[in-house]
Amino acid sequence: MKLRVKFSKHGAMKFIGHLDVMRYFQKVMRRADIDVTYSEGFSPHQKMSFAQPLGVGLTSDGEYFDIELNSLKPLGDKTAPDFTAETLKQKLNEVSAIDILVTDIVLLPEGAGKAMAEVCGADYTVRSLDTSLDLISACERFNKADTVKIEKETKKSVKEIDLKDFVYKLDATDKSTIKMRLCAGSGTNIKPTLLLKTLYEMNGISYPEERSAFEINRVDLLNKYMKSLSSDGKIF
Amino acid sequence: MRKTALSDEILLSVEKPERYIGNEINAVIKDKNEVDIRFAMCFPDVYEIGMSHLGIQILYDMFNKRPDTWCERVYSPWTDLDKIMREKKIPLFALESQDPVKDFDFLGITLQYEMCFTNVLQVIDLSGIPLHASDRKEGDTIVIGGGPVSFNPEPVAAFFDLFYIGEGEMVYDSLLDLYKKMRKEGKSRSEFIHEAGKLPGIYAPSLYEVSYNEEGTVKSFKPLFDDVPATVKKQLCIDLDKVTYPEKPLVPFIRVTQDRAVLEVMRGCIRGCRFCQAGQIYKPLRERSTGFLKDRARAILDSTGVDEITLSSLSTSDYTGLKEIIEFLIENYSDKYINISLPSLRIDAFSLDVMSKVQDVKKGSLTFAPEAGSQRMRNVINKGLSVDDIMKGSSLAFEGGWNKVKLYFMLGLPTETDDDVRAIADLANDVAALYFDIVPKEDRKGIRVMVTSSASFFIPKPFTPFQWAPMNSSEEFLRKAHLLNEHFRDELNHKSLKFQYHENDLSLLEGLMARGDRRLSKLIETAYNNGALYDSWSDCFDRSIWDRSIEECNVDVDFYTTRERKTDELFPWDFIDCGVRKDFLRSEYEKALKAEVTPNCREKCSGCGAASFGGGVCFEAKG
Repeated sequence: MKLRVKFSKHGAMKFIGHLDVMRYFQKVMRRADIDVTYSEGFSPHQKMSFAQPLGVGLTSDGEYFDIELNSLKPLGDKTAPDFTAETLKQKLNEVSAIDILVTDIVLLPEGAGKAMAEVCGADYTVRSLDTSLDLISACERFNKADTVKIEKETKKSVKEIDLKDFVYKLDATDKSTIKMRLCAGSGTNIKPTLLLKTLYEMNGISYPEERSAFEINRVDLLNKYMKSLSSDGKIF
Repeated sequence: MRKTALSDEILLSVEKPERYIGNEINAVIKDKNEVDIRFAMCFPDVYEIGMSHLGIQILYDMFNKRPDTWCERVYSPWTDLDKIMREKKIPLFALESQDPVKDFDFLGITLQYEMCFTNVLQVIDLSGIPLHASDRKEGDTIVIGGGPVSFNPEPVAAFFDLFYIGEGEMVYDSLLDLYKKMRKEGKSRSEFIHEAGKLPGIYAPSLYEVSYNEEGTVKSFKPLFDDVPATVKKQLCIDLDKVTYPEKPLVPFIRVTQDRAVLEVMRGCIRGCRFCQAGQIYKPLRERSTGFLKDRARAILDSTGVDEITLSSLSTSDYTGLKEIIEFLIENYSDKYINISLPSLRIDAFSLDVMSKVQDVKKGSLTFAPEAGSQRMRNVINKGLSVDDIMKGSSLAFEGGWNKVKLYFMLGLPTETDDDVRAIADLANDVAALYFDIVPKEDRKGIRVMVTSSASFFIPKPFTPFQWAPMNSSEEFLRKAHLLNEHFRDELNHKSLKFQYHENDLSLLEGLMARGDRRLSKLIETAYNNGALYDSWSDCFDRSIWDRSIEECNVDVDFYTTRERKTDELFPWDFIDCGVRKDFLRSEYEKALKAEVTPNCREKCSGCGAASFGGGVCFEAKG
């Protein structure tokens, strides 16, 4: 059976890189005695696959990975009752680090696509510590524009895109906070900083040099219906 | 949410910010207002190296079991952060609380290799503690050293208030109790250091005075006070089942050098190799019981979730319960796919059988450490490994499907001739030839056997029979390496042979520090001030800084390295009693010069002196 686990990552844990988060959760599974399915072959590994990687320095309330289990019983205890979504969540959080918290677990239907393949969008909240740009009017200006052509670097080349096609929502909720819904996934993935840079450029203001000028939180990852990735599965 | 000592801006601009944020699984968080003693435990190297060290995990666990003490960790900031901390005057901090080290009662620094000395100064300096112990005032953090390099602490004696000689489990509780008591009584810092210096195993450099002979050797080494002991006795646990062993070791987020659980099966070694310092200073061999180890293995694997466990010791094949422990791990942890790693195994039928069960045969190579090429040379160093052993082990390995073999050697051993050097290549060639004899052509699957030999340069260490021996000069080392390299090319099977050797700039400095005295502290400080840091990292090490500093301080390097010591010379480290007597080491040196071997501790007791500890292999029934 395949489960989808949603977790949040806050505080100093935003400095833990994607690969290390994967290794971290493999250890969580062993600490919690979860009956995980391993791959065959010489170096067996847990059948675990992560959704869209999160950049170092970003916090998140919407991180996901899928994991395949042999059973819902704890390892080595065949008489124990099956885990429910709630008891499994508790079990995982008992052995978790401060500031990494499992918030939701769902059971995926047979044949469900991998978490990464399901990702189509991402919601972010950005808090700006930089005051040189008027965020409210910058967002309005972006929303009113017919096209916003920018050059986007891909792995192989630089191509021109219309950023309007990939920004689904943009909204300044006050003068230091923006909410954005961006295209995400293995095809085109728009980073919040790309949109921020564009907003600065459109207004002729130079983008702040400090790496910590913006506090970016990923609120959730979304499927093709622009619903939370958890909605692909059901409570058990 | 936890605070961080460094701002987001800094953390986002340095390589691997994970090194500085703490919060690892099993990290211990206490309320600093609820404890009496704050101890910062430091490994003076980068996080990934320091986190791989078992000793700190043991002491961290032991100290934190005391309700009155909070022990935290400190590592050397990498060069990028080092620069920022100096520019912005950010004091060095401990990982758990992220508080400055200078707020702590103790800064403990483990000395695992000589080339960490400039990093020791970096840690003290960045903490804002005066570099010289003599400049520290009331309220300054007490700096205490430990670890194997403390067996000759003299080159860094000026920077430490105290050293702990031996195994930390023994006296640290008394030391912390004494500190707490004296502080409550309102006693001064220097009064505490004086009292601490009377505890067994504790050495307070400021309580001793050294004088030198005209030719530069030590004339006398005496305590300045009547109540301070003239010799400091190494501390050692006889019953390793009775001392604490961490059940919840720290689990780093980033991949560290030893990214696995460590089960220390025993301490000490029966094998008396004459070049090996660890073999002497951890004598006698003491085993942990299989029951104790099974309990700990279970607790550690359950609390960490790591996927690999290593059975650690100086020579794990000599552990009598090895088979039982391995079977236990295979039986109980196959459902979690735990790998078992077995360093320092002798290659024989049993170990190959085990390895084929627990490791991926296709990937691995087998490692032998003959250390020398000729049998004569191996007798000199008392390496109880014959050509037969190597050939038998290799043929079993080739039959078992391995086709990569690594051989470790040393160049520059005492009495070494050019013939001995060339014998290294001949031995590697014989191993490769054996493959062609044993594995029929149709079974080779187009894969060429590869025998990789690597040579390091021999450095005489204190408390070994070779502490009197001259070290080769840099020129002599290089000449031998080149000679050997050429001889490798002339071998029949040269296409299956690889030879590599390590640059020798570091060896020279390591040799200098290993048998150095108090006068070298000036050189270390000068080199540090001239910019030397992370000397054990080849991409950081800058020979020219050291050359310049050696010149500035007028140090005669040859005096410390290439000079053969006289039989009765008083060594800077002779005030330490490591259990093994100096006259025993001398007789071993003389036997070495005659290429005579000494049996191992299980074959026959040689009366080295370690029996004075009253336990371990010295009191096992001899087979």
